[in-house]
Amino acid sequence: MKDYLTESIGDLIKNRKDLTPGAKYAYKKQMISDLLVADSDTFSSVSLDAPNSLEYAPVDPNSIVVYKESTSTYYQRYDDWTCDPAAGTITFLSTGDIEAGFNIVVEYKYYKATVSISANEILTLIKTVDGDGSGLDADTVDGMEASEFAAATHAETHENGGADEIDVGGLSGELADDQPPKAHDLAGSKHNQCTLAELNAKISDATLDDDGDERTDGDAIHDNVAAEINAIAEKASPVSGDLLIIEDSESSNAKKKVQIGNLPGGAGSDNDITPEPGSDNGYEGFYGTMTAGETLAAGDLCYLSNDGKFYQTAADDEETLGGLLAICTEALDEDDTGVFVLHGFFRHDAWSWNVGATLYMSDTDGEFSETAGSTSRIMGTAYSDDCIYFNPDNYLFTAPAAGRVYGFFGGGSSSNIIDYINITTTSGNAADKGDRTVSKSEVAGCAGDSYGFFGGGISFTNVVDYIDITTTSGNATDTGDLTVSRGLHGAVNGATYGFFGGGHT
Amino acid sequence: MANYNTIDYIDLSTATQNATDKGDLTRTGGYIGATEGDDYGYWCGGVSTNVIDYIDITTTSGNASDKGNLTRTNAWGAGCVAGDSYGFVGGGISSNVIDYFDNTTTSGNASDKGDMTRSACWGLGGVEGDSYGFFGGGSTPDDIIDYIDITTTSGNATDKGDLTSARQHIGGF
Repeated sequence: MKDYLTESIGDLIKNRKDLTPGAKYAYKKQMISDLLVADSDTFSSVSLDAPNSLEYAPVDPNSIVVYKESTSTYYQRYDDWTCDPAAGTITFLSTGDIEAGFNIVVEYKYYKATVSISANEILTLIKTVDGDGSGLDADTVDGMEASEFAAATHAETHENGGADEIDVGGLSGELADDQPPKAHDLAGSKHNQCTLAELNAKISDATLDDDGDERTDGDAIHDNVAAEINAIAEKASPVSGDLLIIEDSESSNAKKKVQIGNLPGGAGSDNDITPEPGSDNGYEGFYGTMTAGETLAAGDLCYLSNDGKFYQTAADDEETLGGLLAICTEALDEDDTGVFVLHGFFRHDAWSWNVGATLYMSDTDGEFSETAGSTSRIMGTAYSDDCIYFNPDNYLFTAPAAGRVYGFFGGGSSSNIIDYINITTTSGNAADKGDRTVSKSEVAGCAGDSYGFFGGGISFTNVVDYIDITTTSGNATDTGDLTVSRGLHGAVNGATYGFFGGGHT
Repeated sequence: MANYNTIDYIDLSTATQNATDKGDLTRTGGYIGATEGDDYGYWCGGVSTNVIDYIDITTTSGNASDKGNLTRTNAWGAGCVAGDSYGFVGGGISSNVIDYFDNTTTSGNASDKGDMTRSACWGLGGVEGDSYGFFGGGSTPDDIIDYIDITTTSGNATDKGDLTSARQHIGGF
């Protein structure tokens, strides 16, 4: 038996549209030698037995051609033969002129042709139609079944410490946490490095983002920039035009720039203080707005009381001596607020100082004095006749009595002379101060802080007279009498009292 | 002639007043020098006596008591000055000695500190500052002013200068 293909497989595929979908198509010519019969054989019908059944089934019945080989004798379907296409059998209805010695040839087309085609041919053909939307399914990828790519079964949540916790090297904690960078050296880093100059350039251009667009918060300043600040060169001598960046608490904390020269005590000429203010009651230096506790006038020397208000000082009033002192610069009523100078220059045209004089707190309420009060603090120096440099010290002292500077000798040899000497030095003669009220010898004397007293004397008297021992001039004045007239007696003095004792008449 | 031992006092801060009796010294008589410390007043010597009396100068009543003695009995008419710790008695009718004693206590005798610039000086007035005591005038009379260091217990007097006139038996403070 011989097989023939009368159409290439390529043609079959091309023509498949004419066939039942899924079918194959081929030609078959079969020698039915088993049908060979003797000339004398007659038969009403004959079937192709199994060995002679058409090899390829099912068969297209319309394609079957049956003829006597090497002749033009054809046998007609339904006249000479019938077929069962599904079974692939032909049954001859009569022997007709079938003769022995001839092969009966059956040609037919069949479905499900067995085709021998190479993989390369198939690949070539597939490539002609492969592409997006081709609908081709791949059984494997890189030799792996699709099942091998299926996602592993896992829980819907990955709780920390749970059965299905995420465990990825280099990560720790929860995925929502900031992940710390792995330790690395600069050479191995993937940072974009830049020089300080480049960094400064970026900072100066901080109002623009990487695309050159305006930032919504263009004046933002980094946090934790201590190292960056330390790296910035320091200017030892700022000048007025230099700028500082501040955060304006009165303007939503916006960043703003301030010139050094605008700061109180700023650099350059702004450091200068005008020592002679240009107008009456003008001031230069440290001052503040504070509250008067009573009616005050410009130029009043004031102290801070325990009610937080300022009152006039007085060197003979201990309660007003200590603590914070200030000069009132304007007329104020009780509880008014106004400017008080704490330290600096103050001009008051009503003053008339000796230039360079040390100024003290006066015993008179609210006033300065060129002489110390009963107890006083040094308040400053007269810069001019009407301007003072107010620089109060924190030391209290009791002004020394003039009698401690001078010693006095009175009477003697029936005279009324009163001499004085400077008792702080070891040289120098006595000078005349004035006269006693009586001329006596054998006089005794004693003194307090302000007054010195001579008592008694010969020719015998009980007169006691006194002098002002704070001055070096002036006569004695009668004080009163001793209990007896006496001379050649002695006298001593205590802090409060003087004593005359002994003597005779 | 009457000798007195009475002690009068006055208020040193008042310009017009009469003296009032406080009490009595331990002895009567004149030519007495007197000096003081912070709390006590001392009457020293007198005619032929070396007694030192003391009184409490912080009160207006009370008699004097005996503190001790000077180094001599010829200190009558001597001048007296006071330092913070010591009282000094200089000169006398026939002496140039300067005695000193502790003027913070109520007992104890005087000791010799040094000498005046002149011998036999009496009728001296005495005044003192913080560091120096000054003796002015005295016999013959003269106008000399001597000074001593009242912070120490040794050393002689030195001439400071002169009074405006020679006088003796001068009062001083």
